[in-house]
Amino acid sequence: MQTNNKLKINIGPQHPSTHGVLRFVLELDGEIIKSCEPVIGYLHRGMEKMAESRTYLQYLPTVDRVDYLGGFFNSYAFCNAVENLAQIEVSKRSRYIRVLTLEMNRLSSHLLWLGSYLLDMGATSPLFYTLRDREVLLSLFEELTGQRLMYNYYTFGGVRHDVWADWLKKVADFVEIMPRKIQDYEDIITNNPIFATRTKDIGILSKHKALQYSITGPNLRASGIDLDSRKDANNLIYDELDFETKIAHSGDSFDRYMVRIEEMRECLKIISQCVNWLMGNEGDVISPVKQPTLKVPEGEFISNVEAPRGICSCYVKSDGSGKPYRVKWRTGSYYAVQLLPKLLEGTFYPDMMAIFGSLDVIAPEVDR
Amino acid sequence: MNFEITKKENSFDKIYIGSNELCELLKFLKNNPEYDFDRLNTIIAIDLDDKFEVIYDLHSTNTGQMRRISVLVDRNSPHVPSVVDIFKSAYFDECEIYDLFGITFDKNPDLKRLLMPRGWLGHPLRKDYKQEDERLSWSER
Repeated sequence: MQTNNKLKINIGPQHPSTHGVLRFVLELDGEIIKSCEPVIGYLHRGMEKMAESRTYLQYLPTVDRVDYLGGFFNSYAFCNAVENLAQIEVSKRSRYIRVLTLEMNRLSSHLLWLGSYLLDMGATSPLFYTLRDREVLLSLFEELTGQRLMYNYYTFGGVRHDVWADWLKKVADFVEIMPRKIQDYEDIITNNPIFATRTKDIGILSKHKALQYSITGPNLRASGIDLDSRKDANNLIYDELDFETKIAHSGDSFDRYMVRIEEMRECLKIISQCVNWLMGNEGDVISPVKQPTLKVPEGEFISNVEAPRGICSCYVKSDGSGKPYRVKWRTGSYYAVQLLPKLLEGTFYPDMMAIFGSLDVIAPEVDR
Repeated sequence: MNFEITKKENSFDKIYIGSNELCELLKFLKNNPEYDFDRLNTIIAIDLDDKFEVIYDLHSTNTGQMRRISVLVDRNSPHVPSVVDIFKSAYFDECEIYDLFGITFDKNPDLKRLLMPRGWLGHPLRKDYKQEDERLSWSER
C-alpha cells in the first residue's frame, strides 16, 4: 500500500527469517525503514492459564515448550521456584548434572542461532557446519533423556536418573574436539570481510537503551554491561566453577555475534569441569519427594536463570493446594521484540535481518 | 522417607504501596544512586478473587539486588498509573496485563490487546473467566 511516497509492507507471520510465527508491519521510504510494528501472539498457547488447572507434576513436562531451544532452562526455572517454596534440598550431584545439561543446552542453542543467523544474511554453508556439531549434542541428550528437544529431565529435588560413565566419556570426547570446530567457525565467519561489513556499526544498542528496554543476556553484555545471573547465588554450583563472563563494548550486531562465540568457549570450559567432577564423585540424584502428590506450602517465589536469550524468570504463587495459583513467565525474547522498532528506525531495509537475527529472538518464547 | 516442608522466611519480600504513590516511588528508586534500580525485570499481575495485585519486579544491575513493589487494585474499576515514562520496557508488560486481566493503565501511550486476537471478548487469566464468545468462528467472521 503506497501513501505519500511511503510504502507499507508486511513481513510474516510465515517467513523463514522470523524463527517461528512473528509478524512485522514496516513503513518504508525508499529503502529506509521509517517505522516498524511487531505483531505477536500467533504462538500464544496459554502456558500461564494452563498451569492453574494442572498439578505441579502435570505442568512440568509442558514448561519445556516455553522456549523449545532451551528446554532445560525453563524446566530449571520452574523446578527451582517450586523447590524454594517447598524447601526441597537438591543434592550436590544433581546440581552438577543440572549445570552440565544447562551448559550443553546453551551451546546447542547458540549453535543453531549461529547457523540460522548467517543463513538469514545469505551465507548457507555455516548452517551445515553448526547443525553437524549440534547433532552430536542432540544425540547425547537423546541418549540421556529420551528426547531431543523437550527433555522433561528435571524433577522437584533432583533429576530423573543419574548419568553414567559411558555417556560422560562421550561428552568429554565432544568437549575435546569442539574448540577446533569453534575456531573453524571463526576462520570462515569472523574474518570474512562481507560478514564484517554487513554487521559492524549496524543496529547499535546503547547501554542506556538496553537497560530502559530491559534487555538481558548476550545482547546486554554486547553493550558493555557485565550482568550474568549465573554469578549470583542461584541454587546452582556456578560459584565452584571457573569461567568468565565475556562482554563487548560497541553494542552492534558484530559484537552480539562475538559475545556468543566467546560464550560457547566458556560453555565448554564449564562442561569439562562438570564432567571431571561427576566422574570423580558419587552421590544420590533421585529426589525423595513424592512427585505426583506434592503439595506446596502457601507462598510466592520468583526464580531467575540466565538462559541463552537473556534472563528467564518464573514466578510461582501457591495457595497450599496441589496446583499452582499463578505462574508467570518472563523471557528475554519478549523484550528484544519490543526493542526492535527502535533499532530499526532509520536503517536500511536490507539490514533488517542483520539486526533482527543478531537479537536471537524465537517466537514461542515471546508468545508463551 | 519423611520430608519436612517448611516456609522459608523472607524469600519473597515485597513493599505494598498505594497506586497514587507508585510512580513517585519507582522514580525515586531508579534515580537515587543509593538504590539504583535501573531495570524493571517484569510486571506480574495476580487475580486474588476480591482484588488484583500488580507486582513490579525491580533489579539493580550494579548491586544485583532485586526488590518487588506491590500495588493492590480494586476489582470493580481496575486502574493503575502507567510507568512507561520511567521504564520503557513496561509497555509490553502493561499491554499484556490489560489483555489477560483487564487492568487499565492510565496514561499508557497505546493500550491494546497483545497476545489474544484483537476482537477477543473477556480477559482469560481472570479466575472467573469463561469462554462465552458465541460469535461465528474466525474464518466466517
